[in-house]
Amino acid sequence: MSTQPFHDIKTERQDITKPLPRILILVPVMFCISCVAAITLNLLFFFKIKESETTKIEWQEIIEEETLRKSETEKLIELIKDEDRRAKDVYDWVEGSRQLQPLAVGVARSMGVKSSIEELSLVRDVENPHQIRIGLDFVNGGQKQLDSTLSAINELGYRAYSANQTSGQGGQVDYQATLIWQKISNNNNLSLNNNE
Amino acid sequence: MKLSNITNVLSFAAFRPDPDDSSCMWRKRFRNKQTLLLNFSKEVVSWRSVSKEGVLGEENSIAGSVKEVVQDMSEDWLDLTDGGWCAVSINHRFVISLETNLTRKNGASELIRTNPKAVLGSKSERGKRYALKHNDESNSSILLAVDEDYIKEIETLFKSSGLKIGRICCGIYGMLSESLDQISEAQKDYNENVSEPLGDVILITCCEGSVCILKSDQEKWIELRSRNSLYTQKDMEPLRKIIAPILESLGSNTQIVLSADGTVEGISQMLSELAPNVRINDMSDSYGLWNLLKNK
Repeated sequence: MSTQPFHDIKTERQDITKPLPRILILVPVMFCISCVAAITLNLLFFFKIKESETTKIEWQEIIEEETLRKSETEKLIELIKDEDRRAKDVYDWVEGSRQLQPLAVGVARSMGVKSSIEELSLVRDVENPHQIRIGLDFVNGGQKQLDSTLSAINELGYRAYSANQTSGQGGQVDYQATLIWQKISNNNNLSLNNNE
Repeated sequence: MKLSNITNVLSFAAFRPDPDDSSCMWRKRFRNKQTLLLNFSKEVVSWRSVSKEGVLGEENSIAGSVKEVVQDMSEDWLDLTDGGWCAVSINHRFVISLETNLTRKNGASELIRTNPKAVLGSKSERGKRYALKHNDESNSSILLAVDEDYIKEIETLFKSSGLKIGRICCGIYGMLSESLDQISEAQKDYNENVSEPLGDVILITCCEGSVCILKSDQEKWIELRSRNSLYTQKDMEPLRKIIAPILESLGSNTQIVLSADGTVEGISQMLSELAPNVRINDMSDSYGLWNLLKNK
C-alpha cells in the first residue's frame, strides 16, 4: 500500500494548521517533568519542614530543660560558693582569732629583771581579727628591752607593722604597733601549739 | 498567542494532525479513536466502524437515498464514533476521465483542490471538485470530477445530523489510484528481473455498482471507461456489456487486474467466462475500499 494519503474533495477548512515538528515535543515533556519534579520537591520540602519543626520543638524543650537545669546548678553553685565563702570566713576568723594570752605571757616574760610594764594593751580589730593593736608602755631597759620583747613576739608568729615608738623621761618607752599573724612552718605551729 | 495554543502544546494535541487535515492518513489522525467509514452509491449506503485498536467492524448496508439513510441512522452512527468523525466515500455523480498533457508542476495535486483552473486550464468546469493521478511513465493523467453541489449537500446533511466529515473521497477512484500504484511497483520489479515486455494490463475496478476500466499498453494508459451506478449484485448484465467489448481483442500476453468490493466473486466469474485464457490477478482482498479508507 502506498504511503500517500487518500485523495480528499471535501470543502477545505482554512484554519487547518500542520502538526508541530516532533522535536518540539520536548517542550511539553519537559513541562510535565518540571511539574512532577516541582510537586515532588514541594512535597519533600513540606515533609522536611514539618520534620524540622517537630525537631525544633523537641530541641526547644530540651533547651528549656537544660536551661532550667543550668539555673538550678548555678543556684547550687552559688549556695556552695556562699557556703565556701562562709567557711573561709570562719577559717580566716579561726586563723586570725588566736588567743591573746600567749602573746601577753610572751611579752611579760620578755621583760628583764629591771624592766617593768606600766601598761599593756592588746586590742583585736573587729574587721580583721588577725590584726592586733598592741600598745606597750614600759620603763627601764630601753631599746634593748624593746628588741627582746619584739623578738619574743616574732617567735610567737606575729610581725609588727606600722610601729610607733616614743621614749620618755626616766627610761620610759611607749611602743605601739599592729601585729599581724604570719603563717609559720608546721614545726613552729607545733611549737606554738605546744606553747599553747 | 491564544490560550488554546498553549493548552494544545501542553496536551500534545499540537503534535497530532487535525481530524480534518486531509494531508494526513486516517489512522494517524484518529489514533485510539473510534471512527466510521461510509460508502454511498445511488441507492445503497454501506458502513463499517473502526475500533480504537484500528480493527474494522462488520459491514452493514441499507438501501435508500443518502439523505433518508443519514437522517435515520445518524444517532446509531454517532454511537459508533468518538466525536462523530467519519470518512465518506461517494460512488455517484462523478466522472473519471483520461487526460493528457496536464501540468505537473510541484504542488499541482494540492492546487487542483483550491484552484482547478490553474491546473486544468480550459478543461476546468465550474461547480466541480477534482482529483488527479498522473502516469509517471507517460504524459497521461486520470482526472476525477465530482459535482460540488453534491459534496456540499452531503456536508450540510452530515453537519445537521451532528456528524463530522474528516474526508470525502470517491471510493472507486481511490481504489483505481491505489491499484495503479501497485501495478507500477510490480512493473518496476518485473522490468528489473525479466527482459521480456510485460504486455497489456487491463485494470478493472468495481465499487458499489460503479465500474472503471483502464486499458494500458506496457506502461502507457490508452483507454479508460467509467460508469457510475451501473450494476447491482443481482443484475450484473450492464457490467458484462461494458467489459465484454474490451476483452474481445486481447493479446496473448495480456493480464487482467481486478480490484472490487463485495461483489468480487460474481465479477471474477464473469471475467473468467469472458476471457478464459487470460490471467486474472485479483487484488481485492488486500486493497479493498474499507482497508484503504481505514489505513490511508
